[in-house]
Amino acid sequence: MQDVILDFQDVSYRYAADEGETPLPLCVRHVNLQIERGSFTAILGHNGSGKSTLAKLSNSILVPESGRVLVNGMDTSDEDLAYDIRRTVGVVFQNPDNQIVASIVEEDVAFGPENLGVAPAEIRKRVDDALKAVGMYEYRGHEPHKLSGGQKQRVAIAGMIAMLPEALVLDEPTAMLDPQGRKEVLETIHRLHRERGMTVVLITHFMEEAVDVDRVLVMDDGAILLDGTPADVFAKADLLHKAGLELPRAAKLAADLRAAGAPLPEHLLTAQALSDALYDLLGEKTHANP
Amino acid sequence: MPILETRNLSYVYGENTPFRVQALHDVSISIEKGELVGIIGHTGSGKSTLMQHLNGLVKPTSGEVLLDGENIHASKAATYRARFRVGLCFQYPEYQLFESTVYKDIAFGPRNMGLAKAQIDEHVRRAASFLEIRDAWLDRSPFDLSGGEKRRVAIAGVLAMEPEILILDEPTAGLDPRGRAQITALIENYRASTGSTVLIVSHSMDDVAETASRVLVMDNGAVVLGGTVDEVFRDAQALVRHGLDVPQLTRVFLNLRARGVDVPTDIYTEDQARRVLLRLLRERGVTA
Repeated sequence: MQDVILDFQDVSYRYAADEGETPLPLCVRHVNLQIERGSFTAILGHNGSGKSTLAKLSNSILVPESGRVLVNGMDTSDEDLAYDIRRTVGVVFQNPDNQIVASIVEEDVAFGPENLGVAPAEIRKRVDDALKAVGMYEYRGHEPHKLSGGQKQRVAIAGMIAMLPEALVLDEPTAMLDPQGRKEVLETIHRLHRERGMTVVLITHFMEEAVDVDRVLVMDDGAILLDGTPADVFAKADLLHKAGLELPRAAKLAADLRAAGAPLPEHLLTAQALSDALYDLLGEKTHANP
Repeated sequence: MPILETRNLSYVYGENTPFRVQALHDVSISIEKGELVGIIGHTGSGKSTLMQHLNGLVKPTSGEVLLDGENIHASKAATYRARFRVGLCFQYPEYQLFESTVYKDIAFGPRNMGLAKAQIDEHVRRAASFLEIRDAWLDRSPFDLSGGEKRRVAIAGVLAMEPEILILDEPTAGLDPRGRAQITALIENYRASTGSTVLIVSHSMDDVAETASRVLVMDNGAVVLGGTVDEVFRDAQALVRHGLDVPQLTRVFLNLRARGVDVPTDIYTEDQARRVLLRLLRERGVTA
């Protein structure tokens, strides 16, 4: 029996239309999804596929129109449980500037635990620990608006960590960052998963961010189109393309070469894996062939 | 003569305060008519500050910006002309949509240029068609559109002024792969069919590799590398040193070269990569 932390049971959701307007279509359609405790899941999908709505449904920012979402067995439609649910699942959004509330980094990180009524001494400990976890401890006295995008996003993540959540849901946390910022944030997320056993759900449309995770979900038109390991999902280039997505560039090149007859193994998703496989075909030892 | 040029451009924020920051150091660039130039650099490298100088939005601390050889700060009239001849589209331009309909939003620029109604209409429709904005959208509120659609409307608002030089700051940031490919193709089509000059500011090496004819790399307020896409991407170590990423596909070739396989390393597009690798595989007798 798997240990499920986040359980979507036949969940549908639609946004409210303006008064007098015809109702909007469902943007999440009958989603059944169980996220295992301690796992790292990536959710891919084009803009408008419903993946951000899924993030908001995961900690009762939105509640389903039908079906239910359970967080550690707690129903997100029960308002009395909202505090406990949000303490269990923290959501980080795309734009770091919209998530910073204080004028000093450590005060910003303390905002969550203060609201939870945590004792001051304990807050100090949690803030220091959270800032260390995201590699921003040296910046604790800085003004957030002077930080880079990647640094701000790590402060936003620290703000969540300080509430000691069991799971982090991150909605395109790297979309507004440059390559350096993306790298910092991704390394931070992976480290939290590896070292603290944090359950991670990473929503992204960068295919490269989904190659080194446990499980990949692809959303299209509000429903789950594909669900499997990165190797399984990225083997289905046609379906991905139909869902408005592409293979990671190295994987696409590998597929093209294979289609042209190159005896490359399946499941080459990264530049490293592809160059290793090409080395086996092109490297020194093949020179011996007549 | 280049259409747009900067000579020894420097810019300082907060001069005479403890927060003095030199954002640009002695930047001299030269852009020819009809070029598509990629300007890349990490956050804080000075690329946006440079762009804001090119249509007179920010006045240089020292040095000059020349449009067709004329200093854009030579007179008020020159600055005014530069505003319309050089169209600047900021990052996340959809945050700046504000009118009640898509049509009115796109018409805002041409209206400010003082054009007659019929001309405004022509400009709006031409810009809308370049961005593949359907007629049916023109009467809708821009806020009812999806993110990618809003982005196209916002870019159309700049195109509607029919600038000779179009500058786009991160035009594909935050879009999904399909949206990125679409915007890139529309911009390239616009450049090719109007002969306009286009500057794209980006930190996505992959985007720039596919579209730009020339690339300028900025770091710490200065242009540190410049040349054709080939020339710039050939020096992967330099890109990394300046806080940038090497395109995924280039990395495959760099890895192979590092392990002693004789492959070129100035490869960055899918076509090139496929061609070179298939030839090598054939030469080595791996494939028929």
